[in-house]
Amino acid sequence: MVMLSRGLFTTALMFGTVFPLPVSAAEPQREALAMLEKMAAASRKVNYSGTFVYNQGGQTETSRIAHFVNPAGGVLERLETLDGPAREVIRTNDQVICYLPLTKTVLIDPRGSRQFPVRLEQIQTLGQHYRVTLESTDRVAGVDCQWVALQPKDNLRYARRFCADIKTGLPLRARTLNEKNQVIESFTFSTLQIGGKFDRDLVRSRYAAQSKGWKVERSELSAADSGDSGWVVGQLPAGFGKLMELRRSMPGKPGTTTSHLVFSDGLAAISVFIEPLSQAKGKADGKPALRHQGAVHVYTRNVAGHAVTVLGETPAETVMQLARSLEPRTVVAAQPR
Amino acid sequence: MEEISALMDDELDGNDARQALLRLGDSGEARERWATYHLIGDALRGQHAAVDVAAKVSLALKSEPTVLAPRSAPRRASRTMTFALSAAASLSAIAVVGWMALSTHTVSQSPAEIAASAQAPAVEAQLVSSPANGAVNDYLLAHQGVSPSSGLQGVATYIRTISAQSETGR
Repeated sequence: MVMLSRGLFTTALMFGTVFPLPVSAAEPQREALAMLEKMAAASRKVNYSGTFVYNQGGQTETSRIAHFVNPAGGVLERLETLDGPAREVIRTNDQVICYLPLTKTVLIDPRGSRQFPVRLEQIQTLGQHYRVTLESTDRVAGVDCQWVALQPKDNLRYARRFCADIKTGLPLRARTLNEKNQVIESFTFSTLQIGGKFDRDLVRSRYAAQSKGWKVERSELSAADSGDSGWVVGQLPAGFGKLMELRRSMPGKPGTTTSHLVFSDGLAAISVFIEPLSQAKGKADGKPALRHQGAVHVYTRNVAGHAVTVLGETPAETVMQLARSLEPRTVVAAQPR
Repeated sequence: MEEISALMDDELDGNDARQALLRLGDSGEARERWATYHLIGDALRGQHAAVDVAAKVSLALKSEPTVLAPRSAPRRASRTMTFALSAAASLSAIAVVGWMALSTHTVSQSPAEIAASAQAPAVEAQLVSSPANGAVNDYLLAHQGVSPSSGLQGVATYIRTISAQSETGR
């Protein structure tokens, strides 16, 4: 029986060599998607600390980073810039605190990304909008890594390249490329220790103690956490679906309400913020404006007495398309059919 | 047409330029095209067209300095911040605007606006992006928290939120 099996296997191998069986085109993509899943899982499973270089718009900035997880799914992270004025970000599960010593400001956001991990089914749908392939192997910060490329199938999203640690899946180098194949933003570890034990000192804020008396700009989520904002998007960019809709106050504007809608294609996300013109601080001069920070484009315009801010790690046209088709539901309902 | 191009490329000196312009006659359309080309040329070179064009126009049209003013004023009044092309826009103008649309990270905003305003508003196209320089960090912070990219790359992506913070203060 054993011999027979081996014989059949050998026969199959021989035939496979002489008459190659049609290999499904989806097969290499499946391997690449599996690598992405490994990457997504790494941020929830792997401890690491080191320094990384952020590059955008011709400028580089080096930061120290530490990331610890516990078996209960808790995450504790710290980021501190090493170039220019010190700035620090502490993320504890769902809360993100930015300490900005130069301006003596503390920014607090109650919702981190832990509630929105890149889930398996989202990764599987990535193949609909990106060609996902495994590329060459490489070495970053002394660690062997595997390049994974996501090439968009349209011009609504950017190409992404990740070189992920072959053992743990941790992304060691991440690049975002525009339609001309130019790198517009990159993250690269320059020193890295993977898998160290929890070290409280590495994630303890250096500024929390001295920040008493600093200006605190806190964003709050309304009690009615989610719900219908009363706004609709007539023409959603292809492949983007609504992740959630919630109401919040923006940092430094307590007591105000801003609707926050989030759309994603599984990797890139677009946020839509809608607030009455009366509460928009000096940003609403009525003229549409387009800005960028790294791979993120930010488009602002006024719609029906509201200041609308649409931003996402997408090409400008994608956020603009979404912003242009945003309407209050009442207007839509009033339109003749 | 060639003279307009030569004028635009600064191949003629100030006096020849004026002569060439005068030879174009009193055709408002030709004059307007010349002005338009200059505006677009300045935008391409990343100069502040509002200043440069006004200077060039007044230099070239010293003998009749008021010609352009009444034409451009009402157009500016109805300016929108979008690129727009009239149906009659020349192919080269389309190519120039197309080039700008592809170069959103290299051309500053105001000359592009002005280049756009030189055309009659018809079709909405792309704005030119300028660096955020910390102006929208509050929105960036709220966005980072919900983006799958943050889930993939951890707290590192928050560098965007605090990057350039020092330049603007709050």
